[in-house]
Amino acid sequence: MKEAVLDSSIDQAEVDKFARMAEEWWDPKGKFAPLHKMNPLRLAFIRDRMIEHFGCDAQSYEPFKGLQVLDIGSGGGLLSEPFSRLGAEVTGVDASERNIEVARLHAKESGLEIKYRAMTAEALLEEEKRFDVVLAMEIIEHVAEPADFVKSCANLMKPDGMMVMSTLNKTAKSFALGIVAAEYILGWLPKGTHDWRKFVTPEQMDIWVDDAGLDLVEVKGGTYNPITAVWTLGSDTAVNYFALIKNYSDCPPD
Amino acid sequence: MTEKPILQEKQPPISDVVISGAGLVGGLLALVLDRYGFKVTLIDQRDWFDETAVSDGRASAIAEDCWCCLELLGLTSSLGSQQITGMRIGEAVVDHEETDFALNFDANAEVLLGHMVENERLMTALNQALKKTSQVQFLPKNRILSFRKTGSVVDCELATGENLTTRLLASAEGRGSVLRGLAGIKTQSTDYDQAGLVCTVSHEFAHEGLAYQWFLPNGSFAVLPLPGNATHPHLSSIVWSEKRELAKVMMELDETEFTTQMQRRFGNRLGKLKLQGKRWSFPLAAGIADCFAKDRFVLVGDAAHHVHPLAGQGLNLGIRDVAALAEVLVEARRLGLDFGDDLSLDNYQRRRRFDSALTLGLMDGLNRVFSTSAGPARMLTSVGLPSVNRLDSLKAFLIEKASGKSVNQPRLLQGLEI
Repeated sequence: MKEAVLDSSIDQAEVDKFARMAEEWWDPKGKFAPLHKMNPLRLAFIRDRMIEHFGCDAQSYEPFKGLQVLDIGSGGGLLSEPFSRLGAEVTGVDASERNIEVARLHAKESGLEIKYRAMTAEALLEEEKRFDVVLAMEIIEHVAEPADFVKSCANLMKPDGMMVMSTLNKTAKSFALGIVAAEYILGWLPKGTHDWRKFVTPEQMDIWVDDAGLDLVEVKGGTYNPITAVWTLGSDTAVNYFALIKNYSDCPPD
Repeated sequence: MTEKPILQEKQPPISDVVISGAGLVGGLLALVLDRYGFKVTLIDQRDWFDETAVSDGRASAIAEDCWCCLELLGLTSSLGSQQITGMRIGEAVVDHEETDFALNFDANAEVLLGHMVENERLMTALNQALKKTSQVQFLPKNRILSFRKTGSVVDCELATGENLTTRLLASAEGRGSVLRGLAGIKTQSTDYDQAGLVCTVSHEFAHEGLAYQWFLPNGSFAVLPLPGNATHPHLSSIVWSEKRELAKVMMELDETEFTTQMQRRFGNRLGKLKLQGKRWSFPLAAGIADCFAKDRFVLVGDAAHHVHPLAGQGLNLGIRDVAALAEVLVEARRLGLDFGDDLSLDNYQRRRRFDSALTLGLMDGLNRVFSTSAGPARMLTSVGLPSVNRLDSLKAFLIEKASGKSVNQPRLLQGLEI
């Protein structure tokens, strides 16, 4: 059974590593505290772009009714649950069965209906299902074949849909902050969470997206202020960044 | 593993927020959250709509930021408020002669000092708005006996035997909050050997919107401008802090003697004072809860902090709590987050607890410095106070605190929708 959910884009060691942390997903003061802290920022980025792209009502608490959202690498459901509350029909996929179990359990507790499936993006592609929104947040730095992964994501998106990816940039700063500070000094993330060699520069991302036949429309950085404990969106992409990806036909000409 | 009961099958349907305490702060929180689409239940032991508004004679100096919020909610038009045009603060003794004020603040376009409002009129306006325009569910003559967090909701057991299920429970029950005790949240408090005497007076001369505050050996004596009426064109509200034993004596004096005592403390700036209506006394204390929120339970207003009512900061702090909490909840909900979870409530706590502690510290500090009847502290202040007027930075800080300006100010306090 295990082999069925694994293929080219998955690195088994990475899957096991995250499964060990799965139960702690929903403890806002636990090991995933930094992700919980950053969650409002990435939710706001995605939400605002979706409202703009699909022309949704910004004042509504359920602006995304009727939209299908795919959350790749859904983990404990930190993204899936908010988008489900916002009215979207959410499918969360994760290669780790334990993550999926944790996410299902939590969604039930939250009274939310989310389709969680233990599978990869590639496996889902075979079902020929397409989504209005494809989210691949903090996942590309964990896959074995990122170029193929971006292609799979692109094929899961409807032609008039949109995609958001986020990851860690491959800079000295991201090594210093994302690994040395986050894992060793602040103790935010368990040691060994990230491998700096797998981090992706926005330029590299642009090439992969282009190869997948899509356009990288916007790149925004997330910066953390340790004094106010607040994440803000800006032009500094040296550590974390978000990428908005659409079809060329949906973008204004360069 | 045992299956947990499915939430949707529970009866009655889940509230977004249940608020215990339908006073000014609880009512305001209900009105604001209803405005932003939250399903709100307001519960109180009293039948607050039926009560013929009994005035406790208290008036509040509503700071400019809080006034903006009330204005946005449409509550200010029927209040008959009095804008404060200036503050005169000084140190004096009983039977003082024309002592100069150490601090003179005058309102201008940039620095507004707030508005005097009778609490009772604000309560009436608020209740009318709740009744006429909101979808808030009211549970009068009822109270919460116990509550428990279960997963992503709180189950409350009511005195009438029913159960309420909510995503967030708020206590706006005032300083003696029962729910705060049930939640196991402790408070740190200072009990002063003082009581506050409160009443309304009419006087011969127009106050011209000026607020006066004398720091007397036993405590402060404030005269705050109220709007006049046909019978009494010149009215002010008295907030008089006195040693507790002496306050008891004052309360037992007849009206004439009581008025004489007020006149001895205030002086003749407004001419002859005359007591209008009842006088009230309450013990002075200041305190703050160890935490403002936990496990889908949150404290607002005096349940979170009560202050020595030196500058009418109590209600202002409560309004700022409401504005900050509403903003945190609305923003979380717009992002699809669980608005009642720890992260969301931590945001509220981070935004409010520091300001409350600072206000408490400032008010407490001022009161201690000024009410030390003898010894080096008082000597120091009598030497130091006249120069305070020239210390622009301190003055600016005091004004800023009084007017509620701060970084990261909730939108409602800027008069803007969230």
